[in-house]
Amino acid sequence: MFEHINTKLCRKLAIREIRFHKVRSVLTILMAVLVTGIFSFVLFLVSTEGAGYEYQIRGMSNTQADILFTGLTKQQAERLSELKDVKEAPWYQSVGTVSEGGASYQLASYSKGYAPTVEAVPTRGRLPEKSDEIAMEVQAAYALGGSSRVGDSITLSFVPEQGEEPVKQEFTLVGTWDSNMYSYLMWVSDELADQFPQPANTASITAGVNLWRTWHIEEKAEKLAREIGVTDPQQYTVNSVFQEENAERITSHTASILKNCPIVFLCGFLMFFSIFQMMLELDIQFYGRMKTIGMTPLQMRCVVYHWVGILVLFSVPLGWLLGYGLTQWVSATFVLTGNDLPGMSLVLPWYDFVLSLLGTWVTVFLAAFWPALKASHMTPLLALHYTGHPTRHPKRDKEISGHTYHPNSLFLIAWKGVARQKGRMAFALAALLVSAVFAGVVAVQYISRDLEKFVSNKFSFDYLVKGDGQKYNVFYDPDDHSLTPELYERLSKAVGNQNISRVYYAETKIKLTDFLWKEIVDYYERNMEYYQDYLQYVGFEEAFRELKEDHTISAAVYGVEEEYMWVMTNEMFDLSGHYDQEMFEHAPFAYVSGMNKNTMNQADDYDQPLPKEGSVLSVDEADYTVMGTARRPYNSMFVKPDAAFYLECYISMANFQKQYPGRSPVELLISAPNGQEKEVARIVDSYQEEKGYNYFTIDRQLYYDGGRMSVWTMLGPKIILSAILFLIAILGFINLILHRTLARSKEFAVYRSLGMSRGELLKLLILENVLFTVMAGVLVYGISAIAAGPLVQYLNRSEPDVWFTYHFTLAPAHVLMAVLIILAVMLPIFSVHVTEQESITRRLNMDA
Amino acid sequence: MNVIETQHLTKIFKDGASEIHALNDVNLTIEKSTFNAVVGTSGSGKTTLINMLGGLDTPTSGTVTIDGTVITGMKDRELSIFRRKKLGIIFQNYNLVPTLNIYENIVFPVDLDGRRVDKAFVEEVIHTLHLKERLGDYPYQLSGGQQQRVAIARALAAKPSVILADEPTGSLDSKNSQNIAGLLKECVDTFKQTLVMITHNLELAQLADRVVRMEDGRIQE
Repeated sequence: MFEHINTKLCRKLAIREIRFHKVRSVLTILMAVLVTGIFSFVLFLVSTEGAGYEYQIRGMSNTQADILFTGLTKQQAERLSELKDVKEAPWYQSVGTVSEGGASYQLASYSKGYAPTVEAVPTRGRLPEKSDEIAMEVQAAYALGGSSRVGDSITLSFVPEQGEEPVKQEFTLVGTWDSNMYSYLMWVSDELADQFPQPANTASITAGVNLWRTWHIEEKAEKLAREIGVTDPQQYTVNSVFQEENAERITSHTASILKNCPIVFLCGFLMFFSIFQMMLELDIQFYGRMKTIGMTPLQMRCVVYHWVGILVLFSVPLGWLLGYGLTQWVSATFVLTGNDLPGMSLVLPWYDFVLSLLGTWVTVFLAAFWPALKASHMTPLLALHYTGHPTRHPKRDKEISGHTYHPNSLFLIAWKGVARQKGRMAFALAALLVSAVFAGVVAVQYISRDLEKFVSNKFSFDYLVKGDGQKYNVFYDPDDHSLTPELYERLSKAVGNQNISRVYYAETKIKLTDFLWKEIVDYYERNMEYYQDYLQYVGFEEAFRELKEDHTISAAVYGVEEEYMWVMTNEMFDLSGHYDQEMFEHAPFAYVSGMNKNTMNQADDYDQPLPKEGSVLSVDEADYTVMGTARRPYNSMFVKPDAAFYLECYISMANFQKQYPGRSPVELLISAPNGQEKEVARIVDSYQEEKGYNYFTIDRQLYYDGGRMSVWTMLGPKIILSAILFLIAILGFINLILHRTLARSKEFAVYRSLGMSRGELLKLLILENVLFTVMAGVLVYGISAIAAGPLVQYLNRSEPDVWFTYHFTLAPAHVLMAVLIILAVMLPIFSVHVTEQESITRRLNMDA
Repeated sequence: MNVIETQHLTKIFKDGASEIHALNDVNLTIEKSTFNAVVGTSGSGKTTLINMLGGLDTPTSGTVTIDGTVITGMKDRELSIFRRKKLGIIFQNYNLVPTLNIYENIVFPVDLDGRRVDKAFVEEVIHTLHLKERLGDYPYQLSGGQQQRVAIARALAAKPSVILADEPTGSLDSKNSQNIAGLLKECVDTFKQTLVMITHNLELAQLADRVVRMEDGRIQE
């Protein structure tokens, strides 16, 4: 039979409890705001980062859509939108293709539905209206026309869809958008499109399909293809975000943030528990009273549900606001990929709000339910008269009877006072420990981030200059001569020529030895699955065919100076061989590395095979002995020849100039000792202005800034979390200290009535607090030392060397203890002042 | 007809190594609609007996039967429900709910049980106990005598079969004590309830239909 609960009565009791115990209620609400704030901060961050990662991974498939269909007719595209599984299927029709500078672009009439899915909505200027107007992404504009300014001219050669002969046309750039990962679209006007009419059955449409549900997406994609009459599986691609390894990447990244939730829960619970512990006797007596009148355990639980529910309801809106603010602050400085992500914004799904509310509710409930639970296991009488004092123990009885009397010094009274409230203090202490340990770990991780090491690894020089117009050019231009001897002279005068390293560049084809050729062919055949569907770098199949037929491979040849080689051989990973500077400078030796551009899909064995040390490599009819190899290329992958895979050969500048006379350097790498970076920048700026050049420059400071940003990205959320946990723990300590005074008002009145002075009482309380703080300090320092030592080293065992140089610190423990000592001394002054407002007599007659 | 019966009721308190036999094989019967006073020296087991009768504590052995229901061995929930339906308990220190006003305190057991409050009856009780002007106040705003009257009203409002009163006049002056005792007798006569009252005051005990004497945990009659 169902028991009648009378929820209205339980709610009334809960509301009255809140009103009658305002201090506890306000404190609980404040704590709940903080706890909700942290819960929602962590959850919002997980959602935002997860969405960011997903966005990034989706973009690798050249679209944010779930499935990309290409080569559709108009009829097929329209049919797609009608299918029931399809949520939306925006599309565009290609007018023609531009192939230039190693990249391929599609011209299309602006598609309002499709453009936002690939971030191709002009943010500067407007959409094209006339046939000689065009809009495109900034990087493409620069690469193809040397300028990305709206209003400038740009001449393009494109092959219309219905034609084979290229059409050359001058366009006016009327609109641009920021560079992003989808740089393959350019918008032209309908007027131009009409000039190249296409029959109705032309298969020139690309559609990005989003489904209502993405379960079993591979099967769904097949089904959709069948339903619209697409038979070639090459015509559709499921977004790589659905691949298992990508889903795991997102999960593992967000899990690293989510795993902070248990710490929040634990700290919050300890905090609330210590608040409710303060009035434990009164609460148990309250429930005992209820039991004597006839309240059942279920009704008691109902009172607690309502009590907690009301307190939490007051706190969650502010808590959510706090969480939102923290997430906004942290994510505003987030750099997920090292580039800005246009369109990336805070993600706040409804379930994060619900989860944070539930998390807070559960935390508060578990702490608040404890007195009711305790009371329900007692008889009504025991609960009614509960004082929390331990019962006499037979062994203790014997000890007391034979015990020698010691006069009660202030210290002894204080010690007994502390010992009497061990249980309550334990919870406040636990919260302090959790926050100290967490903050300690984060502090060590923070100061162990070696920014100098990181920057040196990224960029060993202070300044880099690349040639005219190179800013948006992904490749070196071997024919560029803008880095003149005159510029070199000016820079040498400022910093000395030993601090300037020139890099020369040439592209060629190398005929491989039979042995190396076979190794490379076998490598790509073994890993063909990973390379075949990689879209961004076209020409893999063609390059592979060339390799198999002609035994030739594209190569980048670098002529470098001593400083460059020294940096490279000291800082590169996985370098083999022994670098001998004398031999390298004067004899035909080469360092070789290799790369394939398909770095996104991980092959079973990552690296393209390289020539063995000591073997001979023939480069444009000059033979070089391989002095060593590097598994990873030293330069950024974006300054390579336009080839799906290649070798890079580093030879001395002297050998390069002999083999390729008349070339100019493509890059200058400058070290500026004695703080001459500004002078170097001034020389470069004034020279390029003088000559009308537009160099691409990198300042080392950029890497410091990037490094600091990365540190913040990695540790920012944890730092915020530890600050709030600190706050929670300190508030718990304040709550404990205040309660110890205010709840013992009657006890202190007894002391005063027996002759203790106000000063002595103050001294007693300060002594009690200091004793507790010292005990807490021993534990905090002890456990923090273990956390800051072995624990951090264990947690960071897989941290890359480039970043991490272990430093021990106990700074958070120092800060915490300093704050606690100050509070231990100051708070009694305040609370004694408050309690002494009432007369001794009145306080003696108070109920406990 | 007996409304209360105890059989071989025993309660032993363990305090460290020692044992205190608060009740020793108590066999007691109480008739319906009677005013019973329980007297005895301090430590004789009076309060322990009342606590056993009210199901506020568990006996070491023996049984307690109230209005035909054996309450010893009952589960906590069942006992709570039984208590609010069948028993009204008046404590020496009132035990009012500090967060409820006087009227809410009075009807609290009825509300807990989910029954409709018999407004006419409650008003009669309030009138009898002279509490009409204080219904909106809270316990801390009342004097001891007034609080005790509220506790009595609460005990009566649920129309229990049995009222157990543990020194209801213990904290009151003699005039108030006389008043309260008189009121209780009036309520017993008016509402036909059974009252078991612990008292040290022999004058008040004279008002009872029966006096049960206790000594060393046993009934001395």
